[in-house]
Amino acid sequence: MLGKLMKYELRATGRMMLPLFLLTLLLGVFTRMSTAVVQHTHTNITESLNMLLIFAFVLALVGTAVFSVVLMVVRFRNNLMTDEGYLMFTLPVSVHQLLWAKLLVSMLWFVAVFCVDALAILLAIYEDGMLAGLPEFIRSAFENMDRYYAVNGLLYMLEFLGVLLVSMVTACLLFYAPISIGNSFATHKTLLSVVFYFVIQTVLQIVTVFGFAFSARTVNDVIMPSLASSPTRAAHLLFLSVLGYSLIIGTILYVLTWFMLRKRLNLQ
Amino acid sequence: MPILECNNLTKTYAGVTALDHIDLAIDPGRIVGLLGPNGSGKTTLIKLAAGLLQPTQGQILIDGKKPSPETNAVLSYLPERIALSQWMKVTQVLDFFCDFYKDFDRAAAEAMLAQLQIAPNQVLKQMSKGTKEKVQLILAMSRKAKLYLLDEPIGGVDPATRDYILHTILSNYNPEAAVIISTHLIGDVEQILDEVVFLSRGQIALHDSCEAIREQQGKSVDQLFREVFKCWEN
Amino acid sequence: MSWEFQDHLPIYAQLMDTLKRRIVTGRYLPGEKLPSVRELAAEAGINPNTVQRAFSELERDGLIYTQRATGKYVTENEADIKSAREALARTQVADFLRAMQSLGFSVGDVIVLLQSFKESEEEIKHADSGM
Repeated sequence: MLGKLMKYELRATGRMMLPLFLLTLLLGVFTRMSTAVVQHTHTNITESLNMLLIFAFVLALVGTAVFSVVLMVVRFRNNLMTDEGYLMFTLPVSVHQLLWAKLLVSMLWFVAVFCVDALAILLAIYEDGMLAGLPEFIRSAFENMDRYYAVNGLLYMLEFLGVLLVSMVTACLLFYAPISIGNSFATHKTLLSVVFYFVIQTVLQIVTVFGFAFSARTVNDVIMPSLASSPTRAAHLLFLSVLGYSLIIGTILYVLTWFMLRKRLNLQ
Repeated sequence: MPILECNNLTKTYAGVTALDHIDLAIDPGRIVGLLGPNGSGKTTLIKLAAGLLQPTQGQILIDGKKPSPETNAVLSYLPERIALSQWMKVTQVLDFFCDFYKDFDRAAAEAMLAQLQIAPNQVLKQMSKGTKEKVQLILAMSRKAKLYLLDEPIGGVDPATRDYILHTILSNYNPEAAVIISTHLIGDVEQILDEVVFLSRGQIALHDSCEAIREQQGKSVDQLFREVFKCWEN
Repeated sequence: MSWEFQDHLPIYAQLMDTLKRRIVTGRYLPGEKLPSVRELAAEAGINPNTVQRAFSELERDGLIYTQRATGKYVTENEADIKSAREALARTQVADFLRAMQSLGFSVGDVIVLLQSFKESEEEIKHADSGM
């Protein structure tokens, strides 16, 4: 069932994301072409057009990323908290499945945005021989990491990826939770959702500050020495603590969201 | 075993008691009318059965089990609102129902859509409200469910469509399933009902078979309803 | 289009009446198979259990019988059909007389009135054939 939910989630969101991706990639290609034109004919017109195009391209790069976040939030609200909720919550699926379908697909789009933007940039700055040189470039990057920082590049990547993915899920939940809380009220649902968003943000800030203050001693006694002795270990510890932090916050937000949707659903 | 059972079912929100210790049992093979003025608790009862609300006290059971994904699989719910994704085409909605509901009869749905001349490639957003309601009804009636919960199925439609809807409900009759129709258009629906439940201010004012009402009171359910819920005193 | 039913009588009784009429007037012939419960319910726009009850009562009265696995059939007993027809006629007459009584006509008055109806009908027929 989760797979099926994800399928429809992808379809519903893809119809907006894919055209944006296409636009971004096309603008990348056009930018590249325009740059080439400018290199050949330095006129005011071509230079201004080139500037305009680059501007549009950057707008597309940023816009696609921003839009994916907005879409994720709007999709959650429209599909679960408005009339469509009457269908979604009466399907033979659990609230967990409904949530994870949205979380996983949102993550997929975030990663996709990154890839598409990277690809678009590559297209925009493409020089002959770049593609051929790519494997060499990656290999040497890893070699450098190994040599200069005595670090296993691959492990780093995986840890980084883990933190990234957990953060993405937590970031989504940071919106899902207040929306689901706002919905549980009879009136002013949207207003209350916004209010709770800020409430949660504030609580998190306070918790983080306290957390830092609290762990100041541990930082001094445990982490600092290890930083001196083994930078690798320190880096790992850093990653793990960020991961742990994200996981805890994410779990709390997930449980909160699940509870609101399962026990306090109030569709109008 | 009753298909729908309410035991001491209570729901309060913000100090208002929408349902007040309701006891109800609906057996399979029955077509039941859930009647009552606005604010009587009809919609609350239906939402509780559909799992969209949680009881404050007491319990509600579908085929002996609490509302869950498992009971959703045997429950066909027709909401009052249009709950379908408006960007979808009719065929995509059919795909959706086939995907999630094992008991969905696609061929039956397609036949009914053709009968009502609803083009399969039309996008929902472009349809009139009445047509969307028909699509939703067809989807609900194409499920081979154990319990059908129809919330105001004939409220906003023209008389010919009303007839079609009632006819569809009767043609799909399954002696192992129950149909609960929440409506205030009693006169139109009365003939197809086995029993009626009158809800008033969160309590069951009456639960009887239609024929018994006619035999004992000498009036139709519609007339009885008007008497019971008279809005003014002479 | 569903059938019309009156408000103050149980629907099964009204359905029974309609079915009886169809049987006695020959619309359903002796031995003919009746529509299934579901078909009749959908056609008449009424609840299937109501149809079932009407059928059961008619079966009790001997006008129809069930053949398991195939359905319900009109009785082949012509005598039973005839007496049902008579019973319906008598009910019709009783209703008529009651209505006339409320207008102040006794049974004797009604007979006189019927006689005059019969005579004027014959006059018209005579006049027609003479033309």
